[in-house]
Amino acid sequence: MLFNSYFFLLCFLPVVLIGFYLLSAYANRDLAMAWLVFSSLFFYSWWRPPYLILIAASIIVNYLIGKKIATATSHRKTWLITGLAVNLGGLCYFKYANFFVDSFNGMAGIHIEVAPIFLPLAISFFTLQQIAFLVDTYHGKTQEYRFLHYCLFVSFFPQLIAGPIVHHKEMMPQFMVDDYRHKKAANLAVGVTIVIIGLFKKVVLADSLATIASPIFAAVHHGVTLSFFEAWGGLLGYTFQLYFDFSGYSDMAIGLARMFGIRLPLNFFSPYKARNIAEVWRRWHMTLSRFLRDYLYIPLGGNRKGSARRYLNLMITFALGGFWHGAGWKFLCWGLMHGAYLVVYHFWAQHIKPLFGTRHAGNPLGHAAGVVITFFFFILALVFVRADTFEGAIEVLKAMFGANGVALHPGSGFWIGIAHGLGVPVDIAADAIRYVNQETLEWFAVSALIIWGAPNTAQIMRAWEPALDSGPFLKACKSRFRWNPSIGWASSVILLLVVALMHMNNVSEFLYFQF
Amino acid sequence: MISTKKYFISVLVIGLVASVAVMLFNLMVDPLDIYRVVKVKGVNAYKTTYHSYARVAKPLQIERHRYQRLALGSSRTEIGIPIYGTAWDRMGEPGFNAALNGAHISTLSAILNHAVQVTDLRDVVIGLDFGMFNGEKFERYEYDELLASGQNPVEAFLRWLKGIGLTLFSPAMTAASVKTLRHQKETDNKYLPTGQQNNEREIRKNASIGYRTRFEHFENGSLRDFWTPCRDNAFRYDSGRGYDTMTDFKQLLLLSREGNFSIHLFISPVHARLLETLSAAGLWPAFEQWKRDIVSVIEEVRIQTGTDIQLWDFSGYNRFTVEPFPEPGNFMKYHLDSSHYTEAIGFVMLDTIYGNPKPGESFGVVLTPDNIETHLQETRRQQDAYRQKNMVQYEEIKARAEQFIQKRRLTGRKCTGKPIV
Repeated sequence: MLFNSYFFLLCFLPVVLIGFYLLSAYANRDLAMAWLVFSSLFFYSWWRPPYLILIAASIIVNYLIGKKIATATSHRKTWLITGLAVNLGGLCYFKYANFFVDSFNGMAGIHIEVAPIFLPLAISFFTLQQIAFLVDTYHGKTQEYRFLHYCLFVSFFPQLIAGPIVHHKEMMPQFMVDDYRHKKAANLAVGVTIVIIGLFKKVVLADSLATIASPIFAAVHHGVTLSFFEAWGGLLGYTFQLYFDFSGYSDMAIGLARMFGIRLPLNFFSPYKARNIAEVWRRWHMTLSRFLRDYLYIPLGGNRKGSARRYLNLMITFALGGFWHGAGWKFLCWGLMHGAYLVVYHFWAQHIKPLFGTRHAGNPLGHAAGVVITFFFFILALVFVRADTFEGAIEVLKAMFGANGVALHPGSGFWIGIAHGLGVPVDIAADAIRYVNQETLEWFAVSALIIWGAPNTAQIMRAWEPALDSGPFLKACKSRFRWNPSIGWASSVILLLVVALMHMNNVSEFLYFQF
Repeated sequence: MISTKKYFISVLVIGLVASVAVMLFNLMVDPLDIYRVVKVKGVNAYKTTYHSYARVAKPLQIERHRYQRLALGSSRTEIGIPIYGTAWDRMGEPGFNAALNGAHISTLSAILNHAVQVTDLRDVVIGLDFGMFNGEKFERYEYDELLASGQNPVEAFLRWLKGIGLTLFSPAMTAASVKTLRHQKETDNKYLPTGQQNNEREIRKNASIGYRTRFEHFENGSLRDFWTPCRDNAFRYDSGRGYDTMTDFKQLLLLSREGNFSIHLFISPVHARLLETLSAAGLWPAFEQWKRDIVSVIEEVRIQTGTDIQLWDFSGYNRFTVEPFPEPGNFMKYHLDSSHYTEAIGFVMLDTIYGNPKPGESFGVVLTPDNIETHLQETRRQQDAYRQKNMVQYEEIKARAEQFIQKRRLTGRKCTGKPIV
C-alpha cells in the first residue's frame, strides 16, 4: 500500500486512526498498540501477503535473540553473531543472490540457473533496524522488552517501508507514555499538516519532475544518443525528483507517526543546501548515515587509527552503503564515489583548509561556492543511481561533458544569442532538445526556488517539535514561515491537499521503495 | 489563531467539500463528452480540448455509450473514416471512431479487447499502417487501468473509480474544463462527437500552413524515426526487448473469437509522395515483406479459428493518391498531407469494403496468399510509371532521405532485434 494512494489516505488511515483513538479512550493502551501492530502488518501484507510470514519470522527470531543477549550471562557474543548472521544472511539471499550468481556467471563464463527471487518490501529497512537493536542490546543500551512493543517498533507502518531507521531506545519510551491521549488535537493538527506538505511534494512536484527525467533515461536505455542539454535536463530532473520524493516521503512518515502521538527522528534536512559532502550525509537519509556511522564506520576503527585507516574505513563504509541501496555494480560505483568524495573532503579539511586560516570563514561567496561544488559532485554520482545500467550511466556522463557536441535548437534564438555573445561555440540542430523544453526550465526554476529559497517542513513546523531530537537542527532557523493553527495556514494546507489529491490520479511509486 | 481541534476539522471538512465541488464542476462542463449531463450552446457544447485527452476519453466513451460499430487505427483512420453516410452506417448500430493519434498495434489490440468486454460489439473496421508495426517505437497504452480485462465486478468497480478520478478529479481535466468554457467557437472544435477529427478544420488549417510544408513535415518525420529509429536503417517487429508487433497483431485478430462481431482490415492509403519517400529511404522491400506477413498471419488465424477476415490494400499509386498540389488558395480534395487522407477517400473506402461502391469510384485490392505476389508486382509497375513522370520530385526526396539516414547512422538507436528483411 502506498502513502500516495486513495485507499491509504481515504480508507486505511481514517480506520486505523479512529480505531486507535477509540481503543485508547475506551479500552486500554495495550489494545491500542495491538491495533497498530495489526494495522501495520495488514499494511505490509497488502503488497504481497506471503511475505507477512517473512517479517513475522524476522520479528520473532530477532526478539528471541535480543532477549537472550539481554538476559544471558554467557555466550552473549555468540548470540549476537548468530543474530547478525541470520539478518545478513536473509538480506543477502533476498537482495543479492541473483546479482551474485549473475556476476559469477558473467566472470566465469558459465551458466548457473537461479530462479528470480523477489525482493520483499522493506527488508533492507527492518533488517538494519533489528541489527541495530541486537548490537544495542549487546552493549546494554536497550531496556524494555515487551513483545507487543517490539512488534510495533519493527512494524510501525509510517516508518516500516522506507525509514527512518529508528532505534529501539528512541521508540520504546514513546510507546509507554500516554502523550497521544492528552495532546490528541495538537498531534492530529501537526501530523495532518506535515502529511499534506509531504503528499504535495511527492505527487505534485516529484511525480511531475519524473515526467522530465524518465523519458530521457528510458531513451538512453533504448540506445538513443543524448545531446548535451538533454543529458543535463535528465539528470537535473532526476536530482530534483529524488529530492522531493524522499523529502515528501520523510515528511509523510513523520506526519503519520505524529498523528498517533509518536515522534520519529528527522531523516531529510535540505541536503542540497550542504556546503560539503560530509554535511550532505548529515542531512540526507540521516538515519541511514547514523546507522552506517555507529554500526560500521566506528566499529571499523573510525578516525581513531590514523588518516590512512580513516580513509579506508570511509571507502568500505560507503561501498557497503552503496551496495545496500541496490544489488548492482552501478550502486557500488555510486557508493565508492561518495567514499572518495569524503576522503578528498577530509584530506582537504585536515591538511589544506588550515593553510588559509580562518579569515574567510563565513564568507557568503565561499558558502555559495561550497554549495555549488558539493551539489555538482553529488549529482554526478546520481547518474549511476538513475541510469538503468552502468553503461547507460557512462553514456549520460559522456553527453553531459559534451562528447556528443553541444547543440541548440534553431528556435532557441535567445539562448543562441547568449551563447554567441559569450563566445561559446554551439551547433544549431533540429534534434538538439527532443526531451527538454521551456516547461522543463520552468520546473527547474520552481524546484530550485523551493530547495534553496524556502525553509523545509521541519523548520516551518519548528514551534511544535516536529521530529525527535530536532531541536539542534531547528534553533538557527529565522524564517518567517512558521506554522500555527490559523485560518491562513488552514486555507493554504487545504489548497495543497486538494491539488495533491487531484494529482494522485497518476499513481507512481516512491523511489525509495525499491531499496 | 484557532484551536488545533478546529484547525484539524476545518482541513478535513473543507478539503472534502472543495474536492466534491471540483468534481461537480468537471461533471457539468464534461470536457471529454463522457457524461453528457448538460450541453449548452455557447457554454460547453463544443468539446474544444478533447483532442488533448482523446486517449483517456475514447475507451470511457466506448464503455459508457455502448458503441457497437467501431473504427480503430491511428491518426489516418481518426481523420479519414467517417461514421455516418456510408454502406457501413446502414448496418444501424451506433458507431464511433475510436482510432487514436499515433496508435501502435499493441494499443489497437488493447482497445479492441476493452471494447469486446464492455459492449455488444458487432463490427470493427481497422486501419493498418506500416509504422504502427515498428517494434522499436513500441508503446504501451498509457491508461491501462481504464481498460476492462474481464467481467470481474470488483475490477469493473475499480475501473469505474479510476475513470471518475481521471475525468472528474484531475488537474488536467479541471484545466480542460476551464479551457472548454473559454473556447466555444465552432472553429475551435478539432473533433466531432463521433470521435472523428474535424476534416473541415484541418483542411482550413492547411491553407494557412501550405501544402508543401505539411507534406514535407510528415515525410521528414517518417524518415527521422517513424519507420525506423535504428542506426542500421532496418525495420523490425522484434525490438529485442521481449515484444513483437506481429504477435500483437495476431492477438488482435484472435479477439474475434471472443464475440459475435466482424473485423474488416485495410492498409491505409497515403499520398504517392510518401510511398516515394519510403522507397528513397530503402525501406520498400520491408514494406512489401510487411504486407506478406500480415496476409500470412490472417491466413494462420483463419486456419486456427475458421474466421474469414478480409484485408483491403488501399495503399499504392492510384488516382486518389497521386493527387497533385492545388493552385494557391485552393484545397486538396483527398489529402491533408502526405500521410493523412480526407474523409472524401474514407467514404469510398467504406463503401468498397461493405460492397456498395459507387460506379467507377472503387479502388483497392483484397489481399490473399494467392494474389499477394502479383499485387506487389503490379504496385512496383505503378511505382515505376509514377516515378518516370515525377523524377525531379523523387530526386529531391531521395536527397532528403539520405541526409536523414546519414544522421541516424551517427546518432540513431542501437537496435538489437532481428530486421524483417
